[in-house]
Amino acid sequence: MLTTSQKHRDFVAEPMAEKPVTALAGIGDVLGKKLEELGFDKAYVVLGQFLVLKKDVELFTEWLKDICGANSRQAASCTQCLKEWCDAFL
Amino acid sequence: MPSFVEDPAQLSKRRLRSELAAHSVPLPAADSGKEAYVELYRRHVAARSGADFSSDEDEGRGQAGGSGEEASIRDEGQKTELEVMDVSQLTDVELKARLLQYGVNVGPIVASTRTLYEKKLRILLKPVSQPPLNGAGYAAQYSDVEDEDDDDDDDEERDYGSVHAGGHLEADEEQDQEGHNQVGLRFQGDARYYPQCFLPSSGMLESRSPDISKVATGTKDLMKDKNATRKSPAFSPKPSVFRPQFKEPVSDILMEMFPGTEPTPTGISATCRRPIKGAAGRPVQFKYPDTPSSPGTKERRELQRHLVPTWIQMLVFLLVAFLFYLIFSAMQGVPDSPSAVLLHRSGHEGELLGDLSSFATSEDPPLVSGEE
Repeated sequence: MLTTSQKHRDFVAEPMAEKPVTALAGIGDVLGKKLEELGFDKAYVVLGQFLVLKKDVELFTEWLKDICGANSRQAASCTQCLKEWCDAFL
Repeated sequence: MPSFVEDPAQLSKRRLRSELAAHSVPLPAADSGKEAYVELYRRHVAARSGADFSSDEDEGRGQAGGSGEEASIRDEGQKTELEVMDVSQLTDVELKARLLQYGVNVGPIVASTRTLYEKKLRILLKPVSQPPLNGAGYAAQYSDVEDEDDDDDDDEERDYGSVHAGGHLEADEEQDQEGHNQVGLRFQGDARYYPQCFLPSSGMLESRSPDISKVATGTKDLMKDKNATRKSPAFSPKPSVFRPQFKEPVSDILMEMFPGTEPTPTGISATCRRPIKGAAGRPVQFKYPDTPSSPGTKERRELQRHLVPTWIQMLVFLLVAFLFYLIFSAMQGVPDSPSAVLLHRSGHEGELLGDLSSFATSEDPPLVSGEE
């Protein structure tokens, strides 16, 4: 991903604290709602899943696509966002 | 991918869904239970596999080339299918161990990650059951040919194992009692060897270990026909008839790898390796690009090395020359301003000398007088 969205930049700029899951890049209202229904109501919960998968980009992308029906672009965007956040703050 | 599962109920719902999709069976409603999937599976897939099984073995081999490959696939497929089936039933620890075998960086296997890792393991297990890729294709077709030729030595090594990636070795070993996974050349008679470029002759096919029960038999007829033409170049005799799926990729791959090779009567063909840099035929220049090749270059390089100090040498030389000029001009008494300075200086020296002499003379008289 050579270009990042404003959402991505905003997310990666600071600790996520209690940001909602819709603050993640690639996760809009629809996907956000699905994730919340599944229990991933905060961004850090999704981060938790990313970390449990040992920050494996491929696996996490797949998981995201499976669980909330994200398409490849959205899932990749979210994964990239989380990965960069981890690189910066973890 | 055919799945020959005795009890489809053992498969997970997702797996059943993918199997049904693979067999072009219309899926039931999304919220239908697993039983519906199982039912459909049994009805369609089992029926299909039954047909395959029936056309199996002995006589059917010649006409049903497809079934031949099915059978061979089945052999390998069954083993992997069993494994695939069991993936869902592996314990967390076992699943993790198996994934580690494949070099996967496995995290904790918890509820949310388990399905993902199961899927990953299935994908890793899949290539073994899918012969369309080179490796297993080799195995299957060679294994088929095994039985055919009894008159020739049976104890032939299979170096085709070296051709394939590790994943195919399992398939090889199933069929190969001799267990050769060795890489290397073996020249065992005319048409029976694997040159390093993997261009096996047709004769090579006969030199398989005598295993491969079901698969081999059907090919016997074909092989015996081909025996006469065995010496012909690789794969031309046997190819497309009974093992289209395997043969084509094999010959294609070989031809792709070595497009320039011509079929030789003995089947032997050696492909030149890419010449080593610095070896005969390649000028040393390529190996040591920095080495000067001509004396002119050498000189230039030498000069360049001295380039920096040269300027300093010139400077020093000029300085020294200038000094010499000054001295020379002083000697000559040239009435130039620099010389005038020198004269003036020499005048000063004369005065000094005069003072000294007067001092000396003044010194003398007292002495002289003293003595008188």
